[in-house]
Amino acid sequence: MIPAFVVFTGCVSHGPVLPDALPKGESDSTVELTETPFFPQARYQCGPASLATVLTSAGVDVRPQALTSQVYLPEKHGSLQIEMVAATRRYHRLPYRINPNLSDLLAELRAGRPVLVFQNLGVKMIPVWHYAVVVGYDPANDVMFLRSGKERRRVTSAGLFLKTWKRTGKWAIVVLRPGEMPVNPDLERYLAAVGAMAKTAPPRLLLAWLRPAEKQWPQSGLVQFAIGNALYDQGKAAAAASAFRKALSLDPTLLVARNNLAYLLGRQGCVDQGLEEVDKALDQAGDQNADLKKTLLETRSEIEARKESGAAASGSCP
Amino acid sequence: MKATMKLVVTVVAGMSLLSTTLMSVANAAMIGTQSAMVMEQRSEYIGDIKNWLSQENVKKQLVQLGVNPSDASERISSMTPDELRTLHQRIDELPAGAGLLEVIGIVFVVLLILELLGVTNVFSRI
Repeated sequence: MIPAFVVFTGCVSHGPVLPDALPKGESDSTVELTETPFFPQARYQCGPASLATVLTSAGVDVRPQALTSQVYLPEKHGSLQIEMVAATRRYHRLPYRINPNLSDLLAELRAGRPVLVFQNLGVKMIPVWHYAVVVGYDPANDVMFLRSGKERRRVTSAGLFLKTWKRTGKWAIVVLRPGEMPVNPDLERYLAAVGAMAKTAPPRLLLAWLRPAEKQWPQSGLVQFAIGNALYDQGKAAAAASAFRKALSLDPTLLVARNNLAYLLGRQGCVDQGLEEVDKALDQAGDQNADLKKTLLETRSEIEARKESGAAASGSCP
Repeated sequence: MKATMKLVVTVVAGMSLLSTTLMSVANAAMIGTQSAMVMEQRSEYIGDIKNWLSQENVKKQLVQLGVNPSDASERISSMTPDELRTLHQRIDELPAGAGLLEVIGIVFVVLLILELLGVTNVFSRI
């Protein structure tokens, strides 16, 4: 009876999981971030508890009780992933979704960062959605260590953890301090994560996350574009202009950078230069991207208006 | 005709409410990094007006789900247009992590069997 059931549920494979997810030379060492705090969850409140755990580890002094009003939905008896991410931003920490694989998760642990994971502890038909914080692993016993629910140190077989994690598409985030980058960052996802902070964090902090990105991807026009935006928000027009120009020299097709350069020039009273840039961008844009084209036309009319009102550069143009 | 009028009125009402919001956006033609990433990925870019409307909608939804209105405003304040749109469209179906099981009878028995077979991890200590 039991063997038939095992075959039916398809869980016959019982080889160890961790060795494949570890680089050579790391396959023997246990990692455990024992300093990671623990907040036992109140009823339904694994969201606030696990978020408090990773925020505290990233140097924020916050308790689950303070997070309940920020991420808990009373009528749903739980917390949504989007709200977990959005709340992290309000504490000026960068929530970054790591690549959905076990080896990247383990690499974050080796870098000293606990990882907030989303699990389905049940099955698809009877889901039990759960947030927990992975704090370590032991390859010899093929187990993971978690801060989970009411257990300070839950020991779960890596295979079982993987199953429960797969059921959420392997969703996991790390919470980064200013200036910190994930171990294996994805350029676009990282920049989008930093860009998403613009409403909540000052440009100084955005730059703290963008400077290491510049080192990581020196050839990326997008990184320079994002730096230009942060500098502009800091009121540093000349530095912003040179970042936008650098972005364009790395990637001449980066029309968002040309738009912002044109806009900035117009604002500085350098209307002819601004018009030249925006017209170049409009030529390049063609009819491919309607949203971008609309913005370019807005930029153009704004510079035109400045030109007609006789605005002139107060000093030299950036 | 009536429907058209209603639409116009709604849009105008929306616009007047918007004016204060938009006033604060000094750089209307400056493209933010977040928007640029959306444009680069060629997914749908949400303009300021649509964005503002989805903020108001999500706020209402959060309040309906038991969040007090001032908390709801704070909660939406740090969401991106993409996140707001996802919440607005799918808040009812999105999974909410609770970490607690409240099932009885046969479902419990099924889960218990699955747990013993190593498929689920619902029960912390067995």
